[in-house]
Amino acid sequence: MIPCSKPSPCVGIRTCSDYSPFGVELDGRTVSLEGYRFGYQGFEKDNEFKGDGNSYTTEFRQLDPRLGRWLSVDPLNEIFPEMSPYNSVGNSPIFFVDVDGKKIVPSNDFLSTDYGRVFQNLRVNNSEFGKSIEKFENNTQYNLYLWINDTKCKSAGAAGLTKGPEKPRASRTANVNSWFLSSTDVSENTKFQYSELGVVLIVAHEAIHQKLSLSPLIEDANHNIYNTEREALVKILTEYSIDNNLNLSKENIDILSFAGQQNSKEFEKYISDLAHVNNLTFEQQKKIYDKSLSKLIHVKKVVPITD
Amino acid sequence: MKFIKIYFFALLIGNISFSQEKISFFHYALNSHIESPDTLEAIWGMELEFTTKRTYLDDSIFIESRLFTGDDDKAIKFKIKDGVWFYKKHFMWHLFYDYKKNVGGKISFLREKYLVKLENVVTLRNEILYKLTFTPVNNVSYSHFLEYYFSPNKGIVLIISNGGSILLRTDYFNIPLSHKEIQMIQNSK
Repeated sequence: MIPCSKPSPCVGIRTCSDYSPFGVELDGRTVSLEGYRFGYQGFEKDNEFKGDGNSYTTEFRQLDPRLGRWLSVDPLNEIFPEMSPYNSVGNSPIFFVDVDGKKIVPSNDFLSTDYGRVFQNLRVNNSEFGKSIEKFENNTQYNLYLWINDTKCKSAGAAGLTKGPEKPRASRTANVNSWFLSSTDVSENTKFQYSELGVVLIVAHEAIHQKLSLSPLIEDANHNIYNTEREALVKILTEYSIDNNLNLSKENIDILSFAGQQNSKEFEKYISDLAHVNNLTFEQQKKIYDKSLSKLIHVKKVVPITD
Repeated sequence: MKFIKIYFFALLIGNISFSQEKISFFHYALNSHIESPDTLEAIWGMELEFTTKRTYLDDSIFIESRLFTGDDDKAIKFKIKDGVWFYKKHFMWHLFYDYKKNVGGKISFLREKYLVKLENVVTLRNEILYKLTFTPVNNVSYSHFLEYYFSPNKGIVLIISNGGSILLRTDYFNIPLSHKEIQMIQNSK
């Protein structure tokens, strides 16, 4: 803290604090001038209630940072049935902030991750991607909710989790609220990670699922319905390739756009046709496809050099 | 009294020393990796490969990590009694699956609660496999999920993602599934 020696004008630091993940001021690492009311995530302190730094107030609720829990239920609890209505920032303080006690939004920390950067870049600069998620913008009922859990090669394998749609269909919305829980590491053993194109593919692929979730179409288990929207994915990838001077060929765009749809009838036809042209068996052609796709989206993991 | 204490202590030590745990590891490799599971070749779907650890506490109780939880450090304790599977949570046994009544229980992992379902039965290479799925109980739908194929003698031996990746348990399969076999499994849905 820099004390002001002159009456005015003067610039000084009025408060400085380190916090535990859910907002408790850490002992010996907090200094604050009298009368400054704000703290963790910009919340207003409610010191009269439970003592210094033990309670915060927001537009909608009061938070107890020692518990990491709100004192009253989430105003949006009906659309988050899988979460406790008292939980704070989805129990993920690294990924989210909750400035008003009502709605969690991606934190700057998240937006600075590989997935966050790609998501924000596509959202702002890729018109086709924007079209895919436009129904989530300013939608008060449904959030864009992407959960990509490749960090530890989750064997339950959910790459995307879509909230809704249930009847009635979504109307309109507020902020896009994305949820990525991931690094770009592909596997602990293989020493590969996703290239930026790989991350773009995953984000775009899941965004199309989100688009479908708010359409009248009901997806089947094998991505056959998804395939009806493959053209949208092709457009997103083509636009991304042009914007970033990647010069991806039509063949490569096709390889990318079929990723994750290997159970669909369209993919079966795609591989069968290629196998016929190349005089290969289906299995041989499929293996070539898997390797070609890998070349586009995987890169050797960058290992920090240590002494 | 002192004698009784020593007797019980000796009994306890004896029990501990005789109840040695048996640990097994099972590796799940991509269909295209099954002939060379140790290869470091990059290929689509390799992010799903994993090894699960099963610790037998006795003949009917074991702890399985990673398989359903996706995390080496998170395990589920199972008990098989008269062919019915139970899992332990909060010090109590809950139904996992009852093959006789074809009734599944509810189980939570990866932030969601699921209903365990036995979907159908396939015969693959003269062995009967049961298809097990997990359906989220809450108002959510997965865009990507897995189907588990279960051998009553061996456990989960085959996993198929709806994105098209196929994982085979390496101690059970040593020859990759052919396109015809995959089609047969898919058509049996």
